[in-house]
Amino acid sequence: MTELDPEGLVFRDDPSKRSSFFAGQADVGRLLGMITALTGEIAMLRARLDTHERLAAEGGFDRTKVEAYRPDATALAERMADDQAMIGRVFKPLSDELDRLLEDPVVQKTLLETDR
Amino acid sequence: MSATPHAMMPEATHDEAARFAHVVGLKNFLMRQLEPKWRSLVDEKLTPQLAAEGRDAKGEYRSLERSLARLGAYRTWQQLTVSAQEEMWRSVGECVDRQLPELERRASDPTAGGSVRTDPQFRPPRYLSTVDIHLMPGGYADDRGEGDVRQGAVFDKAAALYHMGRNGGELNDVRGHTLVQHYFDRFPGMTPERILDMGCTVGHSTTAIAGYFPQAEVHGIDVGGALLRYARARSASLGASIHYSQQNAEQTDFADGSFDLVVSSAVLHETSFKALPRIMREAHRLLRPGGVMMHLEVPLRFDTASAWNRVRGLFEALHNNEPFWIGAQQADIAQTVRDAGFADVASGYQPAVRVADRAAEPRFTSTPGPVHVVWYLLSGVKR
Repeated sequence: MTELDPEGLVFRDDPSKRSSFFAGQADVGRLLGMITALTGEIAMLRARLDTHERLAAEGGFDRTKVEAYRPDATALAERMADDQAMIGRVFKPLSDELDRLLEDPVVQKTLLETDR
Repeated sequence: MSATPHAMMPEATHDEAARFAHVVGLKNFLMRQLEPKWRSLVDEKLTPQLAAEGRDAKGEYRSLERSLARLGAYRTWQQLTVSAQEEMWRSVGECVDRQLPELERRASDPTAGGSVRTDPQFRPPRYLSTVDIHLMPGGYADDRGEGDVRQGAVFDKAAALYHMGRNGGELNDVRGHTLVQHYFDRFPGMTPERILDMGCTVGHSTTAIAGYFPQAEVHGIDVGGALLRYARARSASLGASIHYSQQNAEQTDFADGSFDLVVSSAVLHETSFKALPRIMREAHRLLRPGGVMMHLEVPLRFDTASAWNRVRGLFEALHNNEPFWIGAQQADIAQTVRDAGFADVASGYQPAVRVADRAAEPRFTSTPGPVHVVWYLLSGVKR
């Protein structure tokens, strides 16, 4: 249901349920959720490794120093750039598929066949 | 631990901070790397092909959305966008829960300025209770009882991530400063003595506004007790004594003519067609003659939105739980304000500022701009 109601509101068919984009294949949605969380854990581990390397360069570290370490603006920008590259690699199959769709006239023609 | 902008902001450990930074990066990737490809497909490829068949892609946005959803890649993008949002709430919630007793202890300081008044009988309106707006678990009204500040802490910490730094970083107060700049642009000689912020959440804008008018009595209302307890403590730690109460902006318990200035900040798009005129009439009732009402909103209009922006808007409404997202962009809110009896009604775009300046050259304009660069501002005067 995608029409606005008289109050101008629009809700999923069952607002009490989470959005489901893979009808009959809920595991696909869950899998993508798990991959999303996993990239967060990779990012956290990479940040921790980066902290270790930066502190090592300053002459050494222990757990307390690692926990207390916060990247300065330059280090944070480097981490964010590394993170974007990691995300880009993990989700490259999706990005590539979008690039392909943009150049696929056959698929585009099927998208014009709407249920209007 | 990192320095925090005020005493109530949850502190992030090394690893929590890394997860937060990654959520921002992931949302950035989905919005800035992948979404432009969908925009290009719909607006640059499909729209002209439909036009060649004499069809209007903008008018067909609902069926186009269903058409796109036949693509696994589109469903994957949708799911990842939802998952990134859920990951934001999950990681912030974990951080808040780790230190919740300490946050509640700080919030209970009896010497802190301001006040908070909750109402155990309060029920939020349907447009806020049917779904958890922004997918925030529990929604704005979530409250675990006396002393609870959890939802306020979650909302505050997440808001800085949600806006990806574009609303003033961890203070998230650009919209408050922008509202005041609009006031200075339109009413340079006025100074309000009593101010009400409708839909204040944790007082991001309320506190910023209060800073410009230190003599004023400032009130904020919203639907959640935990939000408001947190808001009071947050404001107090930033040096502002603000009075928060749990009320519906459609009908408050303040006396007629209680305020010189009534504002809201990005609230109207989370109401409904029925609530809009009620809120405007209530603001009119609450103002003394000569008082000013101002509403800040997202600078998006449905009539000028491309087919992709409409599809994206539908996604926002259905899957990021913003049920009035499209309705608000279709509503003639300025007319609602005139119908409520306001005079000198102005609507347009106010460039976002980090600090308002009474002496600055007015920049309120009829020229639209992107979200966070400008805000839609609507203001009127009670005669």
